[in-house]
Amino acid sequence: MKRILGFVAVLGIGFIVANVAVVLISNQPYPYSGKDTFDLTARTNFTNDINTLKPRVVLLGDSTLVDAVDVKLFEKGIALKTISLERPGGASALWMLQLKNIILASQVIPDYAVILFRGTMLTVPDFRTQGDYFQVLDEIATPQDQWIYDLAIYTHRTELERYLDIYLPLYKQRTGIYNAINDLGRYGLPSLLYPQCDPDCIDQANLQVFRTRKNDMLWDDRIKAAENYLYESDHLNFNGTVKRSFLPAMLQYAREHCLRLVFANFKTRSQAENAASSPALEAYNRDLALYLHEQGAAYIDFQKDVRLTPDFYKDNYHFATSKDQLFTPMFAAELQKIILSPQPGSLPPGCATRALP
Amino acid sequence: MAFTEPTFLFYFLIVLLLYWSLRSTKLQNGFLLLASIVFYGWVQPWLPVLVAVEILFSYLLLKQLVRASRHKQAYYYFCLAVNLLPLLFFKFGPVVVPGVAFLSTGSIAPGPIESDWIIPVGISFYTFKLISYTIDIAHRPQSINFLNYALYIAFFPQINSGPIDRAARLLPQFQTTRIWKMDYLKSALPLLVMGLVKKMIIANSISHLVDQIFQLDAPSKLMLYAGAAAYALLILADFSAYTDLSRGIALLLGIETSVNFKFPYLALSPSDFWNRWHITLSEWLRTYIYFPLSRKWQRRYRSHSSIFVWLFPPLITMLVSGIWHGTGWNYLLWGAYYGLLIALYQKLGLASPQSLTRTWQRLLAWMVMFNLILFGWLIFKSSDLNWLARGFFSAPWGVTGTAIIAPLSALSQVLLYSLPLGVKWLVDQGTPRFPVLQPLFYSLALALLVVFSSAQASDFIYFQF
Repeated sequence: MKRILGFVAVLGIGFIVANVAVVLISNQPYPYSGKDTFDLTARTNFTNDINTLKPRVVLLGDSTLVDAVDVKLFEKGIALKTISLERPGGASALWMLQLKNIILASQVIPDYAVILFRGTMLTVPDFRTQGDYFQVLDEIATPQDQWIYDLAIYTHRTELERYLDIYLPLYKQRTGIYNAINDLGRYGLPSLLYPQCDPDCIDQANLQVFRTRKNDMLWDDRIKAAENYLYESDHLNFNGTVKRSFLPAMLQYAREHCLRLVFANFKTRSQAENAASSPALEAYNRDLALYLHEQGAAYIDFQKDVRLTPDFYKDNYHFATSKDQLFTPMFAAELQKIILSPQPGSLPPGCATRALP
Repeated sequence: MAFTEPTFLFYFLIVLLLYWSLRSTKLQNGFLLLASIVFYGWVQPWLPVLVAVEILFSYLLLKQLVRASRHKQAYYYFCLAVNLLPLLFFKFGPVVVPGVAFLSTGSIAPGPIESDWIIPVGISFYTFKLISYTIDIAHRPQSINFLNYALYIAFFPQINSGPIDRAARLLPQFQTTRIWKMDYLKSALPLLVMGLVKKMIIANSISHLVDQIFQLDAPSKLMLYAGAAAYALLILADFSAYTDLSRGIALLLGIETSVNFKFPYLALSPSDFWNRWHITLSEWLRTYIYFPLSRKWQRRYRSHSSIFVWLFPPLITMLVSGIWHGTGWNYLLWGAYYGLLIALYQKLGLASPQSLTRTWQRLLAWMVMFNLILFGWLIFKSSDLNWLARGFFSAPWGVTGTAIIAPLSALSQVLLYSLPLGVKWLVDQGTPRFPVLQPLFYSLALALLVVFSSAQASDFIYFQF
């Protein structure tokens, strides 16, 4: 019994010392603030591209956009200057931040922002906001975006998580420590042997090697597992989730700045394979389309587009090489229709003519 | 239900509380059997039915075998066939039975059976327990207690991925009433923490890297080496994590199960490796295949130079080991590879590490063996042997320019995530002189677990075998 108590005591002391060390290193007052936020500054001036290139159309989306759209071809198709703010791993929290802190913060606001999404991405605000995804959000956000933080992260935490966040330093700082350990693993040996190759250079070298995969379908399971969250029954209830999502704020911000929002609903391979999608998803899409129509936003629906056949895809979400050359003209044509027939009442009166080419 | 899932934690806490409130052997064993049935049927409720039928049928045949005065051999072989058939059916049915071949890829091409064919979790493990008990009973007939026998086969800490304990180890423990001792906790705690560290910190962190490398179209030779090292770490961490958790859980129930790993990558010869890797499987194969074959052929040929004496016993034993792991050619080749290695080392007199007395000899032997192990894992993991051949014979070395950076980065991750295992080894060495090292190591492990806990638990690799 004595030996066990001794073991547990040293174990406990060691654990406490580790936590104290984290408090001292992190240099933040303890107990921590229960409500976290983004760090002080946006780390890059992301509005530069828009200010310099003055695009009329900005594309937003995740890695599916990267593989699906050739921006130059798209630009040619709609005859409007276009740039893409695509970001692999992006979702509604990131798009909200990109809209607010990049597009609408630029000197010349574009006419159209086109968001390529799938499933319930628009109304699940906490999708892709934890761990590495948080770092991506934090790059664009500032403490003024507290409400975005709350909606994307804080409100989805359990009481236990909030408690641990305040009192357990190791838990609070876990993302930072985890990233530091991972970075040490990824960059350690190459930096030691090739000091001239910095972390960016190592990332590039890794990207170059791991870009091609023997069998992209094997990645499907991993991606699908992460995407299942979007198709949980709670998330498929559009009317129950829309008020707690970023969608109303996106629409309002856009309206206030005379920006036309266009939402393009992307088709996945499994949808291309099965003519009938789930009734719940169909109901969600119907409600979404109706809502966007009421709010004056444009909607492009690729869900039922028979031209998108399974052979377009290399996995469930991404197009195979060169299929962007087929999809881009389709996408551009759909947007062209919207550009040429602006819906009355979608923007405040002062904006009415601005959106025309 | 995986041991790292929160659902299991809740389930186990309830089991533990109820179990220790029981005061008789029968009640404790009956309750453990019930808990095992619930555990095993959690995801697929038909699985306990399958194992129950196997246990019941096997039990009835064993009783006949013990009682019979005539046809003992017939009962014995029939019982072995009954033990083995479900494993053969589920594991090899889609490949070898023409009538059900449509359920698989239709060939015995390397790689997993890509179909809806379900292989019951842990069937390879509990089948080997059934067989070992049948052979033991046939050779030393004794009365069989159904409850204890059923619990031995279905004991939930072991049913999914072993260890494949012999009945002689578990049954005596099931025959006595367990009374809670704090020593159980003291012994279980390090195993549980280390199991979680191996699974959640090492295996989960390195698995993505392994996937990336083994899905490369044409990896360079250096990248292939990094992939082998990463997979070696992954499979050790993942499998020994399961064993640690299994042993820790069993200990909390007052049952001591076997050690399954003893720093296998420190092995100096193939035989040494199999004395350290998946020890309970190795012992099973040695006891029921290698020794009988070896004895039989030694008696018949009386010469050590006959290939029936030095080559065939290890080769056949390891081929069975390969087939036990899966239906692809890669597993068969992996088994043959180890069979040949063991035979060759024995022939050259290098099988026993004790024969190497000098430090440089041991170091050289370790380096050679470690690289042989890595090559073995490449065969084991490669679902496409052409891919492996291309990597070996036509891929560039990848050591010039920026091509070297990515494999170095991969090796760097392997080294970093090997650290907990290396430190654990050092702590074990230093503990007799500095006992405080153990709790300090585990406090650091706990701290890291808090940090890595946000990573999601994934399935244990050895569930599939």
